[in-house]
Amino acid sequence: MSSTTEGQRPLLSAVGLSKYFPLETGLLASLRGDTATVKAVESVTLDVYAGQTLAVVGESGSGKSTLGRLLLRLLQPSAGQVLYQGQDIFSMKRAETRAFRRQAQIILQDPYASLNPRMRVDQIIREPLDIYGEGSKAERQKRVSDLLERVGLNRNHERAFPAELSGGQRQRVGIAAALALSPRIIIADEPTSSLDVSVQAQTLNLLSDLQRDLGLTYVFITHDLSVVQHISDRVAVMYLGKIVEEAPTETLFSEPKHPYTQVLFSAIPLPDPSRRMNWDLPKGEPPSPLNPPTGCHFHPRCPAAMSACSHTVPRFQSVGRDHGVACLLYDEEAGT
Amino acid sequence: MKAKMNLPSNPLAVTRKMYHASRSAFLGGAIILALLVMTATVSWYSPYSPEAMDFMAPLSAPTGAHLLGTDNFGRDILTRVLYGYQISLAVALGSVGFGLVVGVSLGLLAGYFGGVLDNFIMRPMDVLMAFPAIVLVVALTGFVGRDVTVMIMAVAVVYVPIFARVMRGSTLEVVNELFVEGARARGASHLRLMLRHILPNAIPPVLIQASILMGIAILLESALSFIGLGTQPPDPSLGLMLSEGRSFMQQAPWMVLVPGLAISLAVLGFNLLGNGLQELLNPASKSR
Amino acid sequence: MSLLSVRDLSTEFKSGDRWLEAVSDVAFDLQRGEILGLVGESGCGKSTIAYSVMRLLAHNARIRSGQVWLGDVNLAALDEQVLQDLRGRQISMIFQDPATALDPLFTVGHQVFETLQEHLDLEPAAARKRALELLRQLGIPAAEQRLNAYPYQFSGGMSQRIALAIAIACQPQVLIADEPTTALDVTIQAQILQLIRRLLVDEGGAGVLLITHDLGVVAQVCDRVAVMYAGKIVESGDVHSIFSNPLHPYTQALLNSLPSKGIARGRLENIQGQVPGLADRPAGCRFHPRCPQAKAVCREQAPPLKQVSARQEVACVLYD
Repeated sequence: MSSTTEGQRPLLSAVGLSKYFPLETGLLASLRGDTATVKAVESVTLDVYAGQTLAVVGESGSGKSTLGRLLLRLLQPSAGQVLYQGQDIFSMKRAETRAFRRQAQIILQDPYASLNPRMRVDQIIREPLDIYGEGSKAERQKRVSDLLERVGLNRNHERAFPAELSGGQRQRVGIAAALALSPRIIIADEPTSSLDVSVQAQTLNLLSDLQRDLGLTYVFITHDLSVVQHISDRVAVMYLGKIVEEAPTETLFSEPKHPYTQVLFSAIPLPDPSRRMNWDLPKGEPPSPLNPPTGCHFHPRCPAAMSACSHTVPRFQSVGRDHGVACLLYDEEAGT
Repeated sequence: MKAKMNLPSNPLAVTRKMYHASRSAFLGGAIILALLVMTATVSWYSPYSPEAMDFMAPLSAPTGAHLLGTDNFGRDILTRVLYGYQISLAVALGSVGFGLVVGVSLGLLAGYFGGVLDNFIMRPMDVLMAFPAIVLVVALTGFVGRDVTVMIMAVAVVYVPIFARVMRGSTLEVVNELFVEGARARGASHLRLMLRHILPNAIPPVLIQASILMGIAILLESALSFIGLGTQPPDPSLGLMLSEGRSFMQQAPWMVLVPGLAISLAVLGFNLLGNGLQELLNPASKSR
Repeated sequence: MSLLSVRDLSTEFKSGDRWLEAVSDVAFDLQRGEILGLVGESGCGKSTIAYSVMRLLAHNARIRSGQVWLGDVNLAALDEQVLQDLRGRQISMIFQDPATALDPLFTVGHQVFETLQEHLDLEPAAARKRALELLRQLGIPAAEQRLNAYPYQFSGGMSQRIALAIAIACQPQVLIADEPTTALDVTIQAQILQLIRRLLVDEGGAGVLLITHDLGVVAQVCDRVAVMYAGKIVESGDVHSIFSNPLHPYTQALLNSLPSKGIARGRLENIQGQVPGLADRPAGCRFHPRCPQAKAVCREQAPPLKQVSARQEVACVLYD
């Protein structure tokens, strides 16, 4: 799989996408007219190309899951657009939305919470087919069996309830349900983060196989940079609602530019006791998205912060082929 | 530890499983079932009619002929209790049934859609809830008259806001579950989300509430009849029997004891069932 | 002598009318000034060991046999009253979800004072001073004001620092940390692990039993490691030896399934099948149905943990 994107039109793009959540304030505050908002996603622009995997990496509060939901129109944006094959999904008509829903699916994080505990496995997988009235009853049942086999389960699991399955098996059921309508793009929100390593490996392999066989496009949302390396062509790193760096996977891993990306790398505990980490690097906690720092959101924790960082919002700019970063260190006009 | 939940295939296995899962639910269920069967079939096996008076044996203590004694008119108390249960259970089942259907629908809509609809549904419910049940019933019977259906409706009106509130709370929790979002992403309609995904997962606390409210309905019916607003003589009703027996407490204590215990037994049955359901439906409350 | 010495520990859970063994004949030692990692996948019994050592098992679980020696005291047979005094003073525990370890109704300061006063009999002023000192040591900014805050006002990372402050308030000899950083972001995880290492081990000379599923965490902070599979320790030893020369097929498979091996895209190795449930653990070596090197004998014979080199023990017939 190559990460060359030149001359290709993106399958899905976000353009200046923002989502602000109004805060539940008390009656008094709302009478006074104080309406605080959380800027979960702030003017995010990115492109996803057909057949590729874009990983969105960030810690809690980075807005990565909100971004995933915006891309699927599960939330309405405060500003900006999401273009699917050039068409804005938020201004689609009913029939177009229905068609879009078939082509863009989601795999959710926690396999324990993402399956309806009172439905059987075959009902869960068949539901999308029922909703869209696909085929006859027998055809649907056949499709369910095929899908189960496709994700490495078998007929014995058909009549099981989710509670009777292991975490890995449940995630497979979730994947089968997402595949039922033969989508073109799948947003996977932390699909392996609650699984054990050996099961995580099985699931990642399954996702790779499916991509290869079905030509799927993935947006892979995760907090785990080590998973990203395996599955993605490109990586976008988010911090407090903004994309701070975006690059092809190899480039990001070999030369991370943004100090936050570097901190994130240095904090991953490598499974190698002979290469112990430098403990001093990450300092402080991510600030609350309620009250983000001025200028560059990362500056209070940044080991390379300059005085300008506290008041200048860095712009996102290219620092190499396909490699963009939002940091004053790389901004010749503003940095000096 | 997560226990596997294998569904048993035959009724005997279901019963056995219920017994093991929750003795309290099993016992409560058994009491209710026995009462239902006995009262529904009482006319087939009882040698007496509830209104038949035996002038030879008024205020008879329990004997072979009258197992639980007779009242001041010589009517068989056991027979009257069993017929009295018919009204009690009819009021309980009727009011809870009606309250469930209306309350659950309203609570589901309010919790699912939220916002304006939520206020539109729930504010009147709050007002209704603030009304004391007895006063409401007194007013209703005053307007419409004394009749079992009136009693059922009166209690149901009190129950609707309770069910609506429990269902709304439970819906608010389930609506945020990941699987609901998943179904939404697969294109499920509002109706499908509500009926298929939210209702089955949000209903358990309501059912627990229903079972406890059944017991309270029996008490309410007895209380209303006791103060003369419910069932009218000579129809048998537990509350009425209790009221009639008061004057004979010295000579014939069974006249109050038997209907009193009968009320307690039914209420106990429903409460046991409620507690048991709570254990069964809420795995966190018991060790697995 | 070891700080903590666990011998032939078996713990079982009640399921219906049966008792099922979650931990089988586990033995290990924790030395002064070391972090021992107990690593394994979910359901392997690693947390059960922690709760058995602390005697904090749920009421549907019990220690069936074995001893837990803290110095010359056997915690497994100790009177509950005496044990309660030891908990928090000589042996403490922190949990995966710090929010559940803190009482939402009391200020953080109150909870720290309470521990100090209960176990050390400190005067209120002295307790306050010590509490402040602890919070500062744990890198909590504006410690003075934070003492008066309630748990809900803290982030996950901050709550875990407070839980750690309470756990180490009386300078215990042993800390049991059950997945202490699993719920935290990587940058915060690194901070907490560093604190545990510095405050308890390097400065306090205590021993830490670190329970985790994360092999990266083990490699970064542990001195020794015990790998668990289906209720048993299958391999244990010095962390460098285990990571550079894993002997048990399960340890090998586990290390190979990690995505961060430095290779770019490609298939990850994985272990076929899945971890057996408590009720269907196989006879013989419990890993044999999934083991690529299983022999006929593995089906019948459960191999004991055996010393194979100065720094490594393994339970596998391949090394007989």
